[in-house]
Amino acid sequence: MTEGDAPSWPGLLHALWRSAFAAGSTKVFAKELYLGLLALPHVRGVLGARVGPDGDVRVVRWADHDQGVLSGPPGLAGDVAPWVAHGPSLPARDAGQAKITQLGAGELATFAPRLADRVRAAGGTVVVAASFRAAQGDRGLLLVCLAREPEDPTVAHALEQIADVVIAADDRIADQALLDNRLAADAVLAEVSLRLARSLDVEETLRAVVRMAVPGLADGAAVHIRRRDGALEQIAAAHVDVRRERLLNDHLRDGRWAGVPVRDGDEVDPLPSLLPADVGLDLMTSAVLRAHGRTLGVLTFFHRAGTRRVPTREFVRDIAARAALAIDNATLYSRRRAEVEELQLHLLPSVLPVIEGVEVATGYNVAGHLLDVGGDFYGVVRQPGDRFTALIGDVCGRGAAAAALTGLARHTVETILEEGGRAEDAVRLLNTKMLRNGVGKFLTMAAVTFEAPTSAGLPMRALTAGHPPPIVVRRDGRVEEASCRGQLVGVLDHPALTPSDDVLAPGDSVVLFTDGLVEARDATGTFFGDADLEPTLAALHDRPLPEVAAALVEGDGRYAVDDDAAVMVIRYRGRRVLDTVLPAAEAPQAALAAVRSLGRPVPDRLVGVPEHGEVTVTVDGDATWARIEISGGARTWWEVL
Amino acid sequence: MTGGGEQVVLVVEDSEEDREAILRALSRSHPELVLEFLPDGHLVADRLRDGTSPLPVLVLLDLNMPGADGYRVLSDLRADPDARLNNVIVVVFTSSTTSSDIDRCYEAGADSYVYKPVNFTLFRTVLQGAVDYWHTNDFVRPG
Repeated sequence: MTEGDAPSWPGLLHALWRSAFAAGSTKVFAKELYLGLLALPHVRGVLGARVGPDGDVRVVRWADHDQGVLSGPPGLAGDVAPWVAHGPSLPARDAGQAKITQLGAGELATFAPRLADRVRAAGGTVVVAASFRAAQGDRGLLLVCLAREPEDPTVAHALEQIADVVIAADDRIADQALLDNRLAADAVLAEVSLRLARSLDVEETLRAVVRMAVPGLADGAAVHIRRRDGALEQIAAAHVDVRRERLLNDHLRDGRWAGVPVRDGDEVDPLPSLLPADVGLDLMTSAVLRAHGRTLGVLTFFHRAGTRRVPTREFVRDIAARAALAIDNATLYSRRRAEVEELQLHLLPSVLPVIEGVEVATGYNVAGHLLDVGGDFYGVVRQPGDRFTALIGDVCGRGAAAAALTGLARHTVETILEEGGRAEDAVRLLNTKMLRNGVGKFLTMAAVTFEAPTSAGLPMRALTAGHPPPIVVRRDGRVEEASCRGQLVGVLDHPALTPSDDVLAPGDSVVLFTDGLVEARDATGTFFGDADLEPTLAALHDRPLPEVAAALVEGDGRYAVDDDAAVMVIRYRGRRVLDTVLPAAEAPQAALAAVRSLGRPVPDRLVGVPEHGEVTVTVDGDATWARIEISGGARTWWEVL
Repeated sequence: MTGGGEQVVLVVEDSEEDREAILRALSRSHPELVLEFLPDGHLVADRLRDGTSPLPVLVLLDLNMPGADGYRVLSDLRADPDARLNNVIVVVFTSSTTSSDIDRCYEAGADSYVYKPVNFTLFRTVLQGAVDYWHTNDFVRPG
């Protein structure tokens, strides 16, 4: 059965079985198979073909002694087509899983003349063919060209055995492909779910979803979202080929496709996409994105004709349901978040009073990840006798109850202060009121009351009730925590409150803040308040006050302020000797003249001041200190002399 | 060294784990392809200019690499007057799905932008899909 040094047929067959069960594709052992058949006695050529259910020749190979094994040689598929058409009518005998047909080259030439020419060219006069089933409704064909009519059934038997190998390998490979597709679909679902859960940016996430599905599960994909007016907006489209992705985007945008399904029916088998042929996507599978009865959009997968990789109905529904839920959650979150921000701002004063000789700046951060209103508040209250009090507080907890207590606390304290009461009296009265009403919550508060300025400066009394004490920032950059101490409000019948007194010189500031600021952390987990707040205040001490407040509430760009945080900065600016609007060119000399009037030495010129348009010029100070600010456009220039 | 007539895929990937995964995936799905690996984007142009080795039919390019990252490699290839460089198919294979990365790669001249999944089965399926596509198109960039 062997020729020359060729290995024995049983040995070849054994090797083929081993290869077939390790291969991920029949093409892996094709060479082994064809060369094995060529080694049989009198065999001059071997033809193999895979034929689809519609009779289309999908894969074709040829092997002979001169050329070896060729995959898809030009013209061979067309030459085989007549055999495919006439094959079923040819006389055949069953041999295991195969049907075996034998005929001479002359008879072959009557219906497949070009194939007969190939057989003759290889030195064949007779062909023996095996036809057998393959996976997914295909048929397999193996045709052996012999130099002469076989004397025994060796070749037919070999073909029968080979058919067994190919069928078994093909079934296993098809099963493996099915499993791989299922695993890939599960993996896409898992990765999509992670992505959806991590992000509230719906559109970016949906772009990622279509990108992740192509080309693993589909040849193309697109997603549309339904806008408020009911119109569908195309968010993203993906194709493995950039040029075809552009075409796909254009065709979808211009309506050159079947469009989105009218209803979300049970049928998700692929439908004609009606896309132009240039994009190469003939079929589509769509799923309506629906959550809580509302239609949110449409997810569509596109496929090439004849593809074996069409996502299952369960997969399409599952991924659509997850995407829809994510869109719904993100939409509800953003709506709720807007409500929280609006409510939070209603709990704060919209305008702070203007007080002579004093500048006030505030900053507020609404916790980025929470959907309940927080309890931080602040305010500035004018009092009889040229006094005023700045206060800041923090109600424990979040939500409606915290918001209600915030309103109660702020208005109780402010009313008492407006009537001329001291801050400690206001705190004690609020404490009594909270205990009497059984509020069940507590709050912390800090206040600084400023008296009318004297020749020594601006007298102040600091108070804390369980709150971080105010911090005094001197005009030379020194930072001092006020020495006041006190217990929180709403817990004890008689909280101990020990105020502290101080005097601000022109240029000194007082900073009040809530614990959201000191508890901000950097990348290493270090708290802002533990390590860096005082050095930061020192570094910021002479900057324009709005910049100081903004920098603090943003953690100076180094600390993540995740919780609610309120900041109030009050600077005693002393006597204002200039406050005017001038052309920019005239501002420096006017400012220097004003500083000179205070008895302070001045430089010849000011460097870096705004040079265009009209500017606002202010000069504050006394004989020991002066501050110039020149503001034009969005920029404020300042100098301390 | 590869023999004549073999189809070479050049994989530019700095991660050893990803190189191993690509080898495992493509060896199984496309055993007929010869894989060559470069760990550094700086080496790509010289490899493509090397007339003694077969011109790769496709370059599989990681995006985030130290030194010459994928954008730089891609831009340099497309700007090169040599057709061996400017006309080779480049498939960007990356874990990023952000729109800005995709747009940047498209502007730089990528032929495909393919998401690199974490799951190996999906990794293999995605790679197979991308290579199959270009194989079906005879590894030729449309004009």
